[in-house]
Amino acid sequence: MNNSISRREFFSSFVANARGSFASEKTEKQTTQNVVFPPGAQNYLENCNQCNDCISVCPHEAIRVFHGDDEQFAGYPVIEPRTQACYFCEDFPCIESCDTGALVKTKNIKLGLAEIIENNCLPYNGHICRSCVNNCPFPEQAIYCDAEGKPVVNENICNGCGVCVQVCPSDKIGIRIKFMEEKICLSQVS
Amino acid sequence: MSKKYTRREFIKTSAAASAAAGIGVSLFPGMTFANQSGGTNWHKSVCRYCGVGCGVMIGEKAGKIISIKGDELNTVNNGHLCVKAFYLHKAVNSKTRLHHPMIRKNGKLVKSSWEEALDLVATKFNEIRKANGGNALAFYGSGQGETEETYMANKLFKGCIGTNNVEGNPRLCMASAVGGYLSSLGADEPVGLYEDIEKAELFFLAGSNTAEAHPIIFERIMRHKTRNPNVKIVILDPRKTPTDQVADLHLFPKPGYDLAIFNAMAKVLIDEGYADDDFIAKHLVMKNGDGVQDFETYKKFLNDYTPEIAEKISGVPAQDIIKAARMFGKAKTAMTLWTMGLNQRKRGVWANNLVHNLHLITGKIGVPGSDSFSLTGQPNACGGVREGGGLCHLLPGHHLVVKEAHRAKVAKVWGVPASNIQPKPGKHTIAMFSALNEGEIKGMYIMCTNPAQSLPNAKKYWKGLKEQFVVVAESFYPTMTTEYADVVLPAAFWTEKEGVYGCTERRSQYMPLVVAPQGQAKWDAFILRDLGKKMGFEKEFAKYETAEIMWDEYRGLTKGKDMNLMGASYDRLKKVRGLTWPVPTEDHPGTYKRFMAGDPIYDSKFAELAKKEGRRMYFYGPKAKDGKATVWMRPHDDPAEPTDSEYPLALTTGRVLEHWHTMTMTGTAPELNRAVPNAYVEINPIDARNMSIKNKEQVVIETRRGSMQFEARVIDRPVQGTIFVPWHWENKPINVLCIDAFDPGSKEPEYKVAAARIRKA
Repeated sequence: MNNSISRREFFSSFVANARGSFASEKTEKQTTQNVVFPPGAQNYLENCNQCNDCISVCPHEAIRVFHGDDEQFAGYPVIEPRTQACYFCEDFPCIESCDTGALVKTKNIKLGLAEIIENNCLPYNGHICRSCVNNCPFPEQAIYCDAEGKPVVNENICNGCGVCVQVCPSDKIGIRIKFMEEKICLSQVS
Repeated sequence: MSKKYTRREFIKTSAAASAAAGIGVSLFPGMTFANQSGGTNWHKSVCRYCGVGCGVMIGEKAGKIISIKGDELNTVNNGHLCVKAFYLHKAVNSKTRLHHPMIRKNGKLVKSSWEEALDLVATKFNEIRKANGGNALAFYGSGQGETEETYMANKLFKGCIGTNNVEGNPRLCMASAVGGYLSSLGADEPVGLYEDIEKAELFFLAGSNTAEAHPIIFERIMRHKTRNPNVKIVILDPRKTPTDQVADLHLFPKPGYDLAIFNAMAKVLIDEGYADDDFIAKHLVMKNGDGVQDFETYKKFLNDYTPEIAEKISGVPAQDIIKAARMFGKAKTAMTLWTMGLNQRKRGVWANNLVHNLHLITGKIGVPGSDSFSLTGQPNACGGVREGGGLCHLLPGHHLVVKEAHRAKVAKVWGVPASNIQPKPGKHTIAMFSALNEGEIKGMYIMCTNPAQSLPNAKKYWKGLKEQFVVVAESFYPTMTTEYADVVLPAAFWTEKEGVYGCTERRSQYMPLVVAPQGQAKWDAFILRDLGKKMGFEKEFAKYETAEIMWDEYRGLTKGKDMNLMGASYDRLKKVRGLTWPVPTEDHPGTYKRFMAGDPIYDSKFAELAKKEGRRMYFYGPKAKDGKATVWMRPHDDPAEPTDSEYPLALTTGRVLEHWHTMTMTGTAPELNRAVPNAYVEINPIDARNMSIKNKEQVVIETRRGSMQFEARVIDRPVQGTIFVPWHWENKPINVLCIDAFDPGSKEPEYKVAAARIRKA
């Protein structure tokens, strides 16, 4: 690549950034409803000692400290897919870094399950959109469009990575990741 | 021109509407007033994005566009919209809108007045014209400009300045389809309409990712298939796309090697008795490079394209080709839809011809549910540029610069001497930008498009844009092209101007002016008119005070032509959801199928003749002889840059659902940026494993024209040996790596195939 391309690239990334900042978007507040635990969470609220090692090794900065108002999750490392979904690294550095047993490597790691919020999802309201399906790492499998173009989650394949939540272009998010065993999680919480 | 004038013009055109609003009367159908819907006024219009031509309702409150919804009465989309259109109001109100003219001084673009900017352009253009002749000037327009805008540009450049160097970006997307329709069917644009979708039994989607590029068409196909499980869908595409969701059969050719497949399908259709011999005998002629041939010669020609030979050339299993042909033959009705995968090719016209062949030899044309139907990419590529004559060899209303009678007719309407219009076609897009590089063209006016990013091998053409005098009229700032502009003029955006868009299905639809242009922005047609006046054509441009005057003059030129729009007056267009030409009179409802009963031109001129000859169609277009369509014998031809050991991968490009073109509009909606924030390269998992490239890794794509870094998306979409990059992002302008070789007939560049290699960054 010669000089003039790089100069142009510099310039245009400036333009793109400028446009991006014009088009900035307010971020949502974290709640127990819009975060999930990092990969391999086991009895997480009891086992995790909040050492934050998983946060420091996450290459995609997906794991962050919970900073919502809810006290039950306060200080725990969590993933808020709307900000950054989990990319399911092959070697799971987060799990490797955990020595308290809060994150454990198991065969089928799932963070949770995607769940369409029909009131907010564009195709359920007469518009055509397939961002979740197009961007899913298992497109047409974990989530697919039905005959009417509405996205449907296949709970057997979805691993709750949250890419669909991150990319959803609806004003009000049309999809969320619910905890795998929401009841257990919530009972832990309460 | 001063601010005062603009305001007056605005008031003039909107006075009627505001008067009506004041007394609470609905003047324009499709418009409801404040008291009826919570303070929001809804105005019937057309979507600003792709060529489908969806009806939208523009929600305006207190002089601001606040919302967009689908128009439920519009037959194109029945109220449905894709996610892009849903956020269109964000583009209208974007902070990237340009509000004042700018002039480059000491290397920097600085704010100026209209007076100063237009004076400078007029003086400079006149100097160039005087010193180097009219052909040293050029106009580069857009399939997104309104018909009225292109009409003004045509008059100024072809009629007054006297150069045919008038082009538009449809050269980069639709020219091969035009060439295909003209050479095969004798006249440009499809025979049927979208309503054939609901009547078709088989869809052949060739080189079209319909689900993402034309979402509403895809939705119609999908609904139709759900209701009628016997409907089958065959896809021909080197890449698995979201469109595959509905596919019954997918053929994966190597990019650029599909011509043989069409010929092989034709061979199977004839060999297995699916050909319509009666239709062939009465309606068709066979041609090759040497002229008219008989049917036997065609059959002999096809012997070179057995499915097995086609398999060797294309990489698609012979069994699949046979299966596809049989599905096509067995289906009572079939519709082929295609777009850039066939058009943006070194042999784009041939690919188009071969698709038409399939429909012609089986008689699957001119019947409800059967059509060879080209999808357009831009909202007014058909209306403004193909019909409006915005290319270097055309004049408005399907007239040609090479025909003396056409020049005389148009010159008379324009009020200019016929000798002003040059008899030779001007330079096509690539030749035009090459001439700009070489300094043969010294001044260029660019309207509503972003060639610095969108041209193939784009970097090569930055030189000319930088060195010569370039004027850019644009609603958004900055773009890659304004970086090179000497003068940037703020153009009124969609909703801030009225005019007509003509979509894929020959449908012309009216768009109202809803709010005043932002800042000092001005309607493109008025900018061109005022520039014309300043250049000394005061008399020629005096009469164009409203859009309707321009439209009526243009409409007059279509009288008696195959694209007769005489019945499409503004009054009528404001009431209806578009009219499909030919529509010769104000009481004519518009035409469903051309060249057959029900088409007013056929009924009045050719029905009797056809009846005598026992025919059901008469291809009366200007390029057809004796009313017959042409089956072309087009051989296989390699792409301009085949893959080799040095560059082993085929690079192909395309769209994603959430973004459009160079993102000046979709980039303003944070929701759309969130959905697809960055460019990426799709790599087949097997190729990725062989190159030990992991998902999300940074890789560098290299072609003979340069290199660029992308994030790898390892996914089972492109066929092995092919990589795919969406082309929208300004910071990753993949078109810089595309080849600028072009089709010798249509002059459309081969964006879809380039040889590339990939390495880890």
